[in-house]
Order: sequence, then C-alpha cells, then structure tokens
Amino acid sequence: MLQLIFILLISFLPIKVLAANEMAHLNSEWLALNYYVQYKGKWTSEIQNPDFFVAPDGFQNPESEFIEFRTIVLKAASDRVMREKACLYPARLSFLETILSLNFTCENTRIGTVGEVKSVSLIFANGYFGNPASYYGHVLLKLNSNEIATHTRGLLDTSVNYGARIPDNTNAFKYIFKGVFGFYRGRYQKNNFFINNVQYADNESRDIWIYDLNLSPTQSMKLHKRMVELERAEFKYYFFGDNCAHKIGDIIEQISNVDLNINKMPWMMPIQLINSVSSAQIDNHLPLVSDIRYFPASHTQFLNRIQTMSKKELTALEAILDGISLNDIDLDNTSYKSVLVAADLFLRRQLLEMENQKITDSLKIEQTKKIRQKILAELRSLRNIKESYRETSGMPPAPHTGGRNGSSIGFSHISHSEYGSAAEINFTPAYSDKLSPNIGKIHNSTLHMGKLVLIGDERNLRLKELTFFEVQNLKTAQVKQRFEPGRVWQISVGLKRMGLNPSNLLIPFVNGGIGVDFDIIKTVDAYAMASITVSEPNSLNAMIVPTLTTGVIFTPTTSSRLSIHTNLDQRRNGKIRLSSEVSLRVYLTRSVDLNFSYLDQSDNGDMLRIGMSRHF
Amino acid sequence: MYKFVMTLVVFVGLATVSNAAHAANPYSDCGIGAAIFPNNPALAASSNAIWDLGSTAITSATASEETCTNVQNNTASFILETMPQLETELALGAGEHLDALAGLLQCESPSAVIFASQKYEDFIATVEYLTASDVEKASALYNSLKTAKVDSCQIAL
Repeated sequence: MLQLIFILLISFLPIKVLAANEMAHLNSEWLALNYYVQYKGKWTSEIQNPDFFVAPDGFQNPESEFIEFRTIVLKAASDRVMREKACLYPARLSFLETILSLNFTCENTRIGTVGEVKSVSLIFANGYFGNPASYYGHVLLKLNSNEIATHTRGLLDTSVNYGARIPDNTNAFKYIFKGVFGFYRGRYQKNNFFINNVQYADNESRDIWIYDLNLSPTQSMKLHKRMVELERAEFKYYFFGDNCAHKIGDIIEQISNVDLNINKMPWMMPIQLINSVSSAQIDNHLPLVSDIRYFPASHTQFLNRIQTMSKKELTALEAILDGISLNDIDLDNTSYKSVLVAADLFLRRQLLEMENQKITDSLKIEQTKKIRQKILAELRSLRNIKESYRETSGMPPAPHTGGRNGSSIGFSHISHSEYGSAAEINFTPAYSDKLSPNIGKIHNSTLHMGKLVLIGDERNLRLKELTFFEVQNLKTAQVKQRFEPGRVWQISVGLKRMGLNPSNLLIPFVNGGIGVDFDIIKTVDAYAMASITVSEPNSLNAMIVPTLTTGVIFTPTTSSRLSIHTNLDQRRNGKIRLSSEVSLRVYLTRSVDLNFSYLDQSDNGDMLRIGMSRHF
Repeated sequence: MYKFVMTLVVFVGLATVSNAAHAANPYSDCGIGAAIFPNNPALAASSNAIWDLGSTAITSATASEETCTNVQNNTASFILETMPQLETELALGAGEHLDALAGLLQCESPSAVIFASQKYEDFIATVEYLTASDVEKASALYNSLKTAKVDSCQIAL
C-alpha cells in the first residue's frame, strides 16, 4: 500500500510542477507584475509602451510574454546579452525563481544592480500653491537602505515618485485638459531622496511627514525590485484618478496584501492614501504604519524660531538682516547664536527666491551674500556654544488625524427674510475650505473641484451653483510682513444663480482677487482682499463687480472654526452694497460637521443657514 | 642645494599630476552638472566649468566607469544639491546633512568632515566666494574633502 502511494506521489509531482509552469502566465502574480487586465475577454496591459515587453505581442498576451521571458532566462546562464535582458526584470526573476531553478546572478552593473533595502516609508509633502498639481500635497515612497533613526529623515535613501511627463512650456489650459483626460504618460521614477527633500523642504517650503511602513525586509526588497523593473514602464496619467496617490497606493497594496480601497473612488487624493494607510492593518492585527515622523520645512523652522524670540532678539535679527555690524549686537552668546541661525535660514530662502525670480540686481544679491558670509563666520566662532532656542512647538497633528478624505455631501435648511425657506444639497468632491481643520492641508485654504449646489423649495429643485474650480489662499503667518509677506489670493470659475429666486438666471462667472494678511493677535488670522467678479447675465453685456473683503478666521475650540467677513461691492447701478457673513463649523465626529451661517445683505435681506455635512 | 630643491619640486609636481590622472572631478568629468540640467545646454555647460581651490588642478582625468565611481558621483551630487544646508551645518558643527556626508564618506564622525572642509571654510571668507556659482562652490568643497587626508574616513574621493 505504501509503495502504491509512493508511486502515485512520484508520478503526480512532475505533472503538478509542469502544470504550474505551463499555466504560470495566468498566475495572479505574473498578471499583476505586468499590469494585465481583462477587457471583454481579451487581455491587455495598463503599461502603455510596448517596448517594456519582450514578446512582440506581450502587451496583449500574458502567455507569449511569459514564454518569451522564460526562454530568455533559460539562455541567460550562457548568454551575456540574454542575461542583461533578463536582469532588467528583477521582480519577474524573483517570480520565476519559484517555478524554475535559476543558475545565474545579475552582475553588479548599472542594469542589474538592486541594492539592499531594509524598510519602506511613505512620505507626505504638504500642499504647495506654486503648482496646481501640488495643491493637494504629494506622496512618494522612500526605500530605506539604513536602519531608521527617529530624528533623521534618511537623506541618502532612495525615493520613488510617480508623476506625469509634461513637456516644457505647456500652457495652463492644455495642461489641465490633458491631465484630466489622460493624455499624459505617467511613470515611476527613482531618485536620491535628498534631491526630493531639497525640493520640498527647502525650495518649496513644504513640511514633510514620514509614515514608516510595517513591511518586512523581504517585502521591502520585493517592492524595490518592482520599482527597478517599472522605471521603464509608462502608464496613462490622470490628475484625479491614476495619479501619484493611486499608483503609490497600488504598489503598497500589492506588496503588503492589504486592501487600501484605492479603486473604490473615481478620484484619489494624497490625503486619502495617507488616511487609508494609517488605518490599515496587516492580517487584521498589525498596523501597516509603524511610526510617524515630522520634519518641518526650512521656512517653518524659521517661523517657529521667530515666534519664540524675545523683542530684543527680534530687534537684533532685523538689525543683522539690515547689515549692521555684528559687533554692535548686544546679546549673550546663546541668544546671539539662535538669532544668527534664524538669520541664516531667512537669508538662504531670500537667496533662493532671488534665484527663482531671476533677480538681476547684483548689488542686492551681493549684499545678501555678504551678510550671510559674516553670519557663517560668526557661527563658526560660536560652534561650541549652545543655542538658547529650544523647539517648543512640537509635532503638529499628523495629516491623517484630520480624518477627512476631502469629499462631502451636505444638507442645509435655509431661512431667507424675503424668499422664505428652502433646502440646500451640496456635493463637494476633492475639496477643503477655510473652515476645514488645518490638518493635512495648506492653512486656511479653500480648494474646490466640481462643487455642486442644488436648492429646493415648494416650486422646484434647481441648480444653484456649479464651481468648476475655486482656490483661495488665506494662509497667514502671524509674523511681521518683513519675514513673511503674506499675500492672500483667490480665483474661481463656475456657474451661479444670484439669489434664491427661481427666476434668477444661472450665469457663468470668473473671480480673482489679491490682498494681504494682518498680524493682529496670535490666534486670529485676519486679511483684506480686493477682487473682481466678471459674470455674464445675458449674452449682450458682461457685468464686472469690484469687491473689497475684510475677514478674520479663528479657532475657538479644537473642534470648531469661525469665520467673519464683510464685503463691499459696487453694483451695476453704481450703488454700493454691504454684506456681512458669520460662519461657524463644529466638527461633531471625524466624519460629521454641523454648519451655521448668517448672512446680512444691505439690499437683499438676511439669510440663516443651518446644515450638516458628511465626509467620505 | 638649488638642484636638490628643483628635483624635489619636479618630483612633487609629477606625483601630483600622476595622482590627478586617476582622480576625476565629477563636476567636470562625470557630467554631474549635465545630469542636473539635462535640458539646458547653457546651464549644463556652465555647471560643468572646472573650478577648484587652485591647489588641485585636475584636467586630465577622463570620464569612465573607473574614474567616476558611484561614491564620487553621489558625493558630488549630494554636495551640489545641499550646498546651503551643508554650509550652515559645517559652521554649526552638527546637522543631518553633515551626518549624511559623513555617512557617504564612511567617516567615524561628522567632525572628520568638518576637519576635511577646512579649506572650504577658509574659502567662504574670501571675496571670490561672493561671486562663485553653485557648481563652483560645490566643486571647491568637494576638492577640499578630497585633498584633506583624514584617516577616520574609509572612502577617499
């Protein structure tokens, strides 16, 4: 009987191995490695460049790609050209190792090198208003070659970005159109992390959050091999869907086997990925994120420093920046050193801005460099002196603690002194506004892409507003204008019905404004802005409305925000209209808000709105 | 005595030239500048300009796998990209960028890098520093690190 079982096992085993080999092209790992998807019964790859594949029809045929690649691998042991070809695919080779016994190694050449990676971190860089594609922040991966040290960001590690390849001098409309509708090619790109760090933390003044992932060294190496392989792959890039957040999330999902729900939404923003990763668990018990670390941008460091300075220190700082002789500074050495460090941070930024703005005033540049030269010499002489400055601001709330994915649906009851009552429904995908918690977003900013507002009463349900996009920057630094010349601004485009009356037409509008922020008291952000709205009530003449806005925003409690603003605008008949609005938002839970607002218009009655919004 | 001094000068000169033939300057020989400004020939050309402290005139090394090692390229690129931060941290004697540079050169501690950067720190105090480009400054620091003999660093540039 035992003999029979043994014979059966022996005869069955090769068949199983052969079957696994023959059917390997349908193995889920092979399909995932090459991004094969089935559409109407036919295979195709999401990878857009056919030269990524080794078989002529590999783009659409998992089987022929597998057979061709296996042939290359089998010849690789004795053929250098085949070996170099095979070594372009370290992740595929790892997969084949489970089926074939490979007897060659990739030499330490530029093609085949896969250095050691011990762990992986997910990086979140705050939003940045210098580039529309960066408004919502950015996510990238960091492949850590060294042990993670809590207080260092691992400058020598390798970063992996996913981004679109955009030709130089592309105009804004082309850029947005092509980006939204998938006309750009996206690709993963490996780089030295210090290059990204300089770009984000220094050049663009964006704070950096590092989410260390609980991936084993084996999984980390697997991810690294995928990245080496995929550097040559090109995908369709969509600003809202298949973007940096989606593709980075996709690769984390594949490696960790954790469902991050990234395919359940038609759009994907960096904060959504951060939220998903932060709440995910491996095998339902181990958090996917092992640690979260914060590294403020150079400019944030400067602002933190000057906010803790005494008056005397601030006066000294300004004197140093004015080029006064350093011998005239009357501070003890520990304070003096702190002031010098702050001055150096400020001058570094100023020199960078001069370079970026292509300022050709050589005298000004030279003067700035001379001051910094003196500061560096002084710092050298104070090398053994401790600074008086101690970091006290601590770590601000991590981006995921806001708990918001940036989309909401809201219902409000409106009571108007002239029109009576109405119900309002609004749907806001991919948004944040000035009353959202200042967590994981640019402070006090508003971002809307496709905001939809419907209004209903006993007469009908109608469209009240469709905002194609709205960007408002009310970020204030609460420091002297000299240190942070606060410029608030806004721009929006959409369709709007003026007033609640159903007979009012839905008219297109464009609005733009610019202003300044004020340093009143530390907890209050105040601003003034002049704006112009161009709208077209009928096809014959456009209406231009200049408006002067003043406002304040503050945070009365940790779970509420309040905004008060007044608008002074000139109507077409020459009359000046004054309107004031008070808005309060209370965060009831991580996903539910209560909203109150009261609007008083000099020529159009007053309106009270009470509503609730649900975030998802 | 005169002959002895001249012979010494010639020998030292030959030794310097011979050493230079094996050591590349990554900013000029390995295309670091070109790699950073790939789409702008003007920038690439200017960033490839050779500039050093005058004591290590390297012009004869040719770009190849042997002369432009990964360590040289990484160090040169790191210095160029993080120059302002490195200047500050060298002056302070501590910092993350300084630690990273010490890590690249496998030094026992950042103080070895500070010691090796002495020439560059002297250069900061000169008038030439005020008009030097980023690549020129980076090249100066690179050469300062290269010429200093620091036993506690495993990697020699």
